[in-house]
Amino acid sequence: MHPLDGNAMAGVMHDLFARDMTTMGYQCTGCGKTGAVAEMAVYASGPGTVARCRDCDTILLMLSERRGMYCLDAPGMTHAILPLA
Amino acid sequence: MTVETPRVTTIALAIRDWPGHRAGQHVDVRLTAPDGYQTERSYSIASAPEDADVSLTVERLDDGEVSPYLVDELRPGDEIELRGPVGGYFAWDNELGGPLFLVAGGSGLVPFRSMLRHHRASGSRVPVRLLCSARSLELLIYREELIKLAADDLVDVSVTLTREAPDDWRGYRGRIDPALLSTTGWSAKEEPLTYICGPTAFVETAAAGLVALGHDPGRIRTERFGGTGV
Repeated sequence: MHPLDGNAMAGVMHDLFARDMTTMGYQCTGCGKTGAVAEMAVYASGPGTVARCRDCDTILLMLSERRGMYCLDAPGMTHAILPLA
Repeated sequence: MTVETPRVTTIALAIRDWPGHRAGQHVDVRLTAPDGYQTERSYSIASAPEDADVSLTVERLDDGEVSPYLVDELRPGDEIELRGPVGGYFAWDNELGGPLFLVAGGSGLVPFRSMLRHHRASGSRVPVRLLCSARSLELLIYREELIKLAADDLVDVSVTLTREAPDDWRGYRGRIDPALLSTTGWSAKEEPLTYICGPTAFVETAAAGLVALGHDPGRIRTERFGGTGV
């Protein structure tokens, strides 16, 4: 299936971070690419949501929800999320 | 509720305490089944910030969990659970300037309706070129509104039909490619601000085509969805 993009996570990310995250920048730990959160390749059809780097496929973050509790893991975004230049 | 095509409906919402939105933003619609199962999907807002109502245009996906309910089951007066407005990346305000190139695949036209209405309502002087791809004229949403918008000297509307076209069709035919993007859009040296919205494969084709034509990737914003119909 075709991935969506980080725009599809705008709502839940806003709930978790209390601000719009789609315009935030990140740096992929796999290839060093920098981009906006909205540009991540997002797979949302599974039991959780997985966001990968558009260039190298490194998993940037994983998000799952159960009974109102969210679990967010960001193995490929270990740098602090940066404001987009 | 307005039927746009057999699969696409525009829904006007009366929302208490709506904080206002920017053109191009979306809302998440959450449905809860009687057994407590919840699911949510994101839909672009079709109305301008200046419009009286907030409206969504929803395409029914046959394997969808939310869109069949919104298109086929929802009735005037029903209540739905919303979160939003969300997303600031794929938003356009007059202050962001242009020239603007909007590239829509199928119901990817929805956020651009909001932007074009905002463009008109705010008296923007930014020149806009809109390229829409649809399977057929019957499946092109907002047909009459597009004709009215195109009457504005600042707004140029191009339509390409990919599957069938009337015999007397004077627009474009076939899928988007660099040649069509070049004909209907701006040259790279005019440094347009470009928004592309549509199904994933459509967005990839359009974005790659523009980058190949020399456009700055930093001035291209994209939004992909799981729809059909290009």
